[in-house]
Amino acid sequence: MLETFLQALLEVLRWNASSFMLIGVVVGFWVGLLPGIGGATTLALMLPFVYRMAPVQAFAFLLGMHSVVSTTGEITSILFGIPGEATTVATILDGHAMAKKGQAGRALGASLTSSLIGAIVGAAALALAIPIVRPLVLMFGSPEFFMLSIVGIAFIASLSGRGPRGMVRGFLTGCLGLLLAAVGQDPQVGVQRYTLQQLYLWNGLDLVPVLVGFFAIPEIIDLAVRGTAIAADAPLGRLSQVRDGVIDAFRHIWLVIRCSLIGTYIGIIPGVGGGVAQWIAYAHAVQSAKTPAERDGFGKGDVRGVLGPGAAVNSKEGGALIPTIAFGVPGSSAMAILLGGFFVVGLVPGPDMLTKHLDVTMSMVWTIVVANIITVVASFVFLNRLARLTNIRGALLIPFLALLTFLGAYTSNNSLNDIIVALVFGGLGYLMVRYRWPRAPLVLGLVLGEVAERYLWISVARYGSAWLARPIVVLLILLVIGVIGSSLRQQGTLPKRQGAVGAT
Amino acid sequence: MRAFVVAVALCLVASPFFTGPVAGQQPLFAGKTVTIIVGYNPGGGYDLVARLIARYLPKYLPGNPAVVVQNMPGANSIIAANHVYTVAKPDGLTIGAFNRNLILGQLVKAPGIRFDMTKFAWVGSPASETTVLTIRNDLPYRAATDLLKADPAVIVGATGPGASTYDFPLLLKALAKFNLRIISGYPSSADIMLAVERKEVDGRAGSYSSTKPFIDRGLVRSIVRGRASVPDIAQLPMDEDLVPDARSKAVMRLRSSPEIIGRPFVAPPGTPEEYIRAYWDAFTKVAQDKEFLVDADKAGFEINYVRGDQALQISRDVLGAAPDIVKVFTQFFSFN
Amino acid sequence: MQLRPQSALAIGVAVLAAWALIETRGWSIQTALYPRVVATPLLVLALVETLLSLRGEGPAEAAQTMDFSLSTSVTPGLAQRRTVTAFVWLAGFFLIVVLLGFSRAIPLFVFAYLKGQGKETWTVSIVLAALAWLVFYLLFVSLLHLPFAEGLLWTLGK
Repeated sequence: MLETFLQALLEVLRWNASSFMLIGVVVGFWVGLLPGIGGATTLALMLPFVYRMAPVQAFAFLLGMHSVVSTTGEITSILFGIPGEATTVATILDGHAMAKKGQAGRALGASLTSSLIGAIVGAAALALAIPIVRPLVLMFGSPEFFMLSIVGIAFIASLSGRGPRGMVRGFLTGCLGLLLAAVGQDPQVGVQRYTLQQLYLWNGLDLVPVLVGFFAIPEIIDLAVRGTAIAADAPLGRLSQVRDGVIDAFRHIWLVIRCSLIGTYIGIIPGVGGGVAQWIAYAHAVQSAKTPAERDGFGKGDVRGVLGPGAAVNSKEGGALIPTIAFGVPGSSAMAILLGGFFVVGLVPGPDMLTKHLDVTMSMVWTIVVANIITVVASFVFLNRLARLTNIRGALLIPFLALLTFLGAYTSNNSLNDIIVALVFGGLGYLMVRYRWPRAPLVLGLVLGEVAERYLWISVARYGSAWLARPIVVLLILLVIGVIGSSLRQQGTLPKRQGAVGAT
Repeated sequence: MRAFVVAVALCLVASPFFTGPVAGQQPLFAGKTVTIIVGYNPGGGYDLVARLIARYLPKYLPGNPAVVVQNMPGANSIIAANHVYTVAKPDGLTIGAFNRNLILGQLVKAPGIRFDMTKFAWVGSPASETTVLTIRNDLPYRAATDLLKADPAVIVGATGPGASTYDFPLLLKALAKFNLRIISGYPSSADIMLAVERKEVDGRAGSYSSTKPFIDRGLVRSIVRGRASVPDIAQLPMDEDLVPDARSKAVMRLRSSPEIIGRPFVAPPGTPEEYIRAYWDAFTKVAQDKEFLVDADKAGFEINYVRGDQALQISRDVLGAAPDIVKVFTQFFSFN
Repeated sequence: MQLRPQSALAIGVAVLAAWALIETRGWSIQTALYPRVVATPLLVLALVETLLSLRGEGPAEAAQTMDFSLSTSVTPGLAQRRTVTAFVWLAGFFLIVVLLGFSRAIPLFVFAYLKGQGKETWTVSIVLAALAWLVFYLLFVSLLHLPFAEGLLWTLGK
């Protein structure tokens, strides 16, 4: 197997394939950077060109493009607080906060480096897991998928607010997100729920306009209020350097590796992966804070809040490859399109990909790694200059940020209704930030709600109530209780200390 | 001198009349752009067909226009259909590509529909769809009739009402009395295949083209098919043949009717006749283009061009179904 | 007990949850189960949050969140005005997109904001507006062929 491993690397590096990969990387770079042009859309647009390529070339191109999109998506998240992709939202919390403190360069360096490490670790974990991957995925049935979504939400909800009051709000916004996910036709019977007679809402709320409005608009408003450049809080107006971020990534290498693994394994689970991995990694980074004061620092510019999601976002793509190639079940929407590419070049996803065609699988793994290395190295060249954008007068930037936000919302469905959604959620997001209601659980509720509902019903219809007794389900239930419990315990000691601090 | 000026002036004024015949000979689509509006997001089956057609169409349209695809997803392509019906200009440069089941949606009076499928200017459908019911290979049932007495009930995974994954087995269960248990709610048909593999469900119905990779892989085998057929599955029993009475047959046939026009392409009502004929001609030629067929085969599409006028007739037949049949059909079919 | 703006948000959510529950009347169990299971704790938590916020928020209970805080570098009065202004600009942008179509709205908005709000010079405003339109056109229209509606004023005029 080691032989196949190395042989695949050589395949990828041969000029034939790597030239396509480079083109893919260039395309993916811009796609990720610009909100509104989604990786999935562009993959679909490129698919017709793929018809004529040989398998290794085709995948070099598609994967080269795809693996880069998440990496560069973090750039707009950090610089402007506008999510470049739906998967880079968590990076906004600390990444943009760092930009406001004049540390955009550092944040960029940290996020790109952790993304690179994430891609490598993810690829390695993938390669090592190949023998056990099929039995591993087959162990997770509908009941397990349901529990995983509950675990995800409980995890985020309990961590996102400090103090018992914070936990109330965390679960509050989580439930709100779950309720918003119910808008649309119900998956069991197809009855319209909460669609207010609008055809537009038949399929429910679309994630991208919600995210773009929810996160970008409060930042724009805040920028307008401050009336200064983004990096106004920079000490003495000096901007940090990208290499500081790189050093940070290595200083917290174990956190980065752990978050990479989180991303990979969440990515392997079809359906749940996607937008969830970044939040779980973020929450894990928060957990790594040793004192309550440190925990407070998250959301205000702690570099670990950038390292965590950065690592997970890329490693999850490697993980999402697994159900796609081993079962023909796409692990993410971009993978669904990649799957189309498989059939076009005549490859049949299934156990064969892990045995007979292992070389193709390996080359895909390597493509992800090499594409990321190229992107990161290339980006470093001008990242420092990019960071200087944070020094520009806010008033100059605002119309362009508004433009990006509106286009980002519009282009997901080519509908003006999406802009209304973005504005509505922008208002909601602003109020939530103002009154200190955490936004992360709402996002997770919205993302996981539909999955949770579908799998709950399937579990009940298929197994009656017996699904509750399945071993993994029991484990996950205990995990949920454990997570909430330990959060409560940690928070329980805080009010006393806070009272002391408030008194001084 | 004055005469000279008058002569020049007359020439200038009269020139349009002289250039008249020359202008009239310009090819129909020269210098224009044709837009295909797809009712789904990029990457899905309808989008892929549209993009494939968009690649080859310019070659066969007079004037070789550019052809671009735009996505207008929402409400299972009702939004796009409404748009092409009411908003798009009937200038011959816009065509829409929608869900084949819209005609059934119109039949059962689904809400939100503001179009009449029979009033569109039909271009036709380049590909058909076939539906099969497949079960996991390790199950003992060989013939379709074995499913009548299957014990325990065969569990079929489905996505939801309105999709062939759900409707096809539902009719087999309700009308042909197969012993099936339908578990609905899976996010996509690919997820159902995963459930088949881990034995959570025993089988899945769906388009033959999307199931073929799994059949080839040996995970499942097909056991019953719908009316539309391809050589690979022609020998399978048809669902209509498995029910005794005429009404059940008619209900099943109603479900299958859109399948022969599996990828409908239409133009706004009132599009000039010459454009429609040009499209008919171009689509016919595309469907015979060797390279197109190779690409379509790779993508798993069953190319079978049904011309606009025939497609329109099929749609009219569906809407003209007898009321009692429609009543029974509406019990089973809800448009989602 | 003090009615604060914070409470308004909590009350709003509670009302939303109650409305959601009322809407589920008449739905079958398959349609109604999930919304009921979710909206009930939502209602409860929203009411709890309302009560807590009415009680007031002392430093001991100040909930820090894993999220950014609005900057406090500007006086509240000025901040309020600027916030409202910013929202008005965004709403206005949306309005002219609907009326004039993206293509005309973009340079208009960029120019209007830079000149009117940002008080930039004529040159800067015009150049940047033109630049914004150019990038938009090249990327979204020329390259990607995305559909952008004409704008109501045009379609209504027909």
